[in-house]
Amino acid sequence: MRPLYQFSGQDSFLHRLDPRTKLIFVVSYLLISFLVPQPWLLFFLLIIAIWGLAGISPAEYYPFLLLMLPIMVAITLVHIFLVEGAPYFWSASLGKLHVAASLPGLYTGLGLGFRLGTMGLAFTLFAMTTEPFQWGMSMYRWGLPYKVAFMFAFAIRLYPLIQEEFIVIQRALKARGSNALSSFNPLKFFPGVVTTAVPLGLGAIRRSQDIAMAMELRGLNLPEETGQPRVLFREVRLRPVDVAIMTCCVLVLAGLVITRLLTPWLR
Amino acid sequence: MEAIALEGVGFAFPGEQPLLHDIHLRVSEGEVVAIVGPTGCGKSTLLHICAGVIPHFISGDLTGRVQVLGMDTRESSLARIAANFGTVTQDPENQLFNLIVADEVAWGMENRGWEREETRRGLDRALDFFRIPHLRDRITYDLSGGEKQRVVLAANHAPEPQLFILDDPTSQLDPIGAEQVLAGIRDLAESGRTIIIVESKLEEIWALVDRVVLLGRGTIQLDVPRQHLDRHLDRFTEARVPLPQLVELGARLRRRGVAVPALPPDPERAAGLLTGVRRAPVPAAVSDRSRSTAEAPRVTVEDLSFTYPPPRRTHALRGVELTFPARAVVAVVGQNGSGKTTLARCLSGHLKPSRGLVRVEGRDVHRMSVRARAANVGYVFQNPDHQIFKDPVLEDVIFGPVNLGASRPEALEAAERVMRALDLWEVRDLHPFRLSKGGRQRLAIAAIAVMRPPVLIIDEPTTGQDLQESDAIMTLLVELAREAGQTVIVITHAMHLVAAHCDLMAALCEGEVIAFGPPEEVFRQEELLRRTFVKPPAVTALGNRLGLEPRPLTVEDAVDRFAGTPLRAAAK
Repeated sequence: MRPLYQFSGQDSFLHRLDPRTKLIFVVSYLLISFLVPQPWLLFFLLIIAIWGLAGISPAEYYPFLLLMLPIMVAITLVHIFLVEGAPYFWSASLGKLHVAASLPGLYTGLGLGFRLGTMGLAFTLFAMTTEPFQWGMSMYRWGLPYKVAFMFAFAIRLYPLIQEEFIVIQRALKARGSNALSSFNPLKFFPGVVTTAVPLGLGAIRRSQDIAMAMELRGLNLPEETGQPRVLFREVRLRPVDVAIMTCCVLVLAGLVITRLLTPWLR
Repeated sequence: MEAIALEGVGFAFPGEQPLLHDIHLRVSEGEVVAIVGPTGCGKSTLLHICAGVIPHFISGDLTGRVQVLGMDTRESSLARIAANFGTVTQDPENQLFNLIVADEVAWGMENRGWEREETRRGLDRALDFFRIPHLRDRITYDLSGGEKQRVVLAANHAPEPQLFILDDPTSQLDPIGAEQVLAGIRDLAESGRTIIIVESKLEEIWALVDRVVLLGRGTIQLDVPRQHLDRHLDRFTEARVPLPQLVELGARLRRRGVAVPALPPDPERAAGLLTGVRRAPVPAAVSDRSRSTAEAPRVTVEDLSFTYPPPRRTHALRGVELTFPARAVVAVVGQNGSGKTTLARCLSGHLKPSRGLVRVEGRDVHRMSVRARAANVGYVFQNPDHQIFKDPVLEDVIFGPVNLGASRPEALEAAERVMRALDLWEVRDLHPFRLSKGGRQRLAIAAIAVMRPPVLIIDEPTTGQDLQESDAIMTLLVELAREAGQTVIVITHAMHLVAAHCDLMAALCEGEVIAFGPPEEVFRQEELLRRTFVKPPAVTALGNRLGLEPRPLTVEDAVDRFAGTPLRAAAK
């Protein structure tokens, strides 16, 4: 299974879009989800878009969906019982304690749950279809210092490696008879996390020293040393389709805000 | 002109005794020089000095004069020195910074300010040189170890340096990966590049090396042309550095009075030179090994299959049937991806098989609790640093027994016994990360062995260890099997250790067991083993070619076949 939030490496319409376009699309989509009364529609629409336009089926990121599900259910349940207002579809009394499940609460909870899900899914879309270095370099083009942009992208490159190491360390902990990380008891779980942090942290420190040395040897600081500016091999520029999509996003968002302010349709 | 000139060089880490002293080394342009020596003798430090990493990146007390391609490394910045050479180290993961192969190879040229078109040409040239143009658009973390290391080589080669500094570039690779990388290094040498290389598999780079420098006791012990190496067998033995098996065989036979010429490391050519040499009779004896394989079965694997979930969907194991007896050391061999680690993880219960069963002493391992599994099947992972959970060393060793419910005094008693056997008792109060890599590897084994599981699985126990350390670890595993009655399962690529120490071996290929039995029998099937990129040790391969019975498994065996068994060995 591919780790969560990892670039999928395919070639598709979404993969080819400039990261800045996708970022603007993601932000617009999230704002739109707060403007329309049917956020669940946007959630499922996004799943279809990821499948259709990026060629990534939900089977490839189902752990994310499984992770979101209990959070969405919990948000919905909290709202069902906390939001007051008729009609109520279930109630029970236990002594002085009275609990009732309200229909408006269900709608509010579902709305918030799906908005949160949409938010996570939109970020997944961005991460799975955007090569981190392209992202980093487009930020560099927009003025971020090269080393900051490069290190940011490199950190994402390192993430699956650390995730893999964490799985091995978890297994090693089990091999020593400790089940702490699978425990629901916080008094066992958190010490287990601390125990795991020792090899993970020390390993990361060692690795970072080796990586820093290797980067230096490959010329990371050479442009500063020689005064010869770095020339990026890959061109990072917006194509007409990027500009068109960005414009569409802004126009749709502006249209929805105006509609919501001036008409009762989206309320 | 000299590519590298070291005059009277010494180095000490801050507050420590000098690691290197009185180093005088000259490497001419176009020369290929191999640096060999025992673990911890300062080989990598010497390369760091040549690369200017010392003193610019790693601080310490550097004495003497270091010139690389005419530049004094003290007077130039690291970036300027490094712009003239390529470096490749052991772990490719620490040398890949970009996600896409093309970006990785282009990065060095970008940093040098090459124009885009120039970079594109350099990229094509480097990918073609290492025969990896098909990897151009691949994601680096999806590549195999050998592919990753070739990408690193290509990335270093692209800006066209004349000097390459290579620090054991194949040590973390499987046989096929190592072969791919060595082919790349051979191409570099043939193209006239100057290469200074630390490489533990001397026989693999034999043909391309001009000189071999033996490092030991902090300085250069020997600096000789490659073809004269066999004249210095004692120096290598004393330094615990193995010569290629057949080169050593030739030297030892001549010492025993057998008239043989200097032997090359290649079994095919060596066999041609030994065809007419008289062979000595072999005394019949029942070895300890054949007795252990006749023990009762401890682990039974029945119709075991494992398929990774989507999107990977790889059939890692297909209908594996195996039986591992008690008191035996069993090796599991095969190229990466053959299913070795998946098998080990199914045996230890870390993976649930898609089909089939693993029984340890009759109990299904997947129905055991985490504690019961840890108590029955010990698993030592490949990287010791992933298994250090406590400080100091003693606390780390007793962590497992305490988790399994042992009292502290009981755990301490068991720990002392194991730690003394593994030479760890004297360092019990140190932080584990202050131990050498070999020490940490022994600590990882001790931390599992102390739980006394009936089955002990060890993934690559001798990676990064020198000859003596590897032998010590394997000897301990044999002792655990013989004295504590454990079944020890070792995953390894080191065939000479399998031949010398293991009772049985299982060769895996594409998830299936293609051969299982004593090494002496399995290593006869060279054609079959080639399918999974397993090569018998050179002396055994020589035995196969010459029809020696029984097949020699070690250099000592081979010497005995030709020169006769010495009295002390025959009397055993």
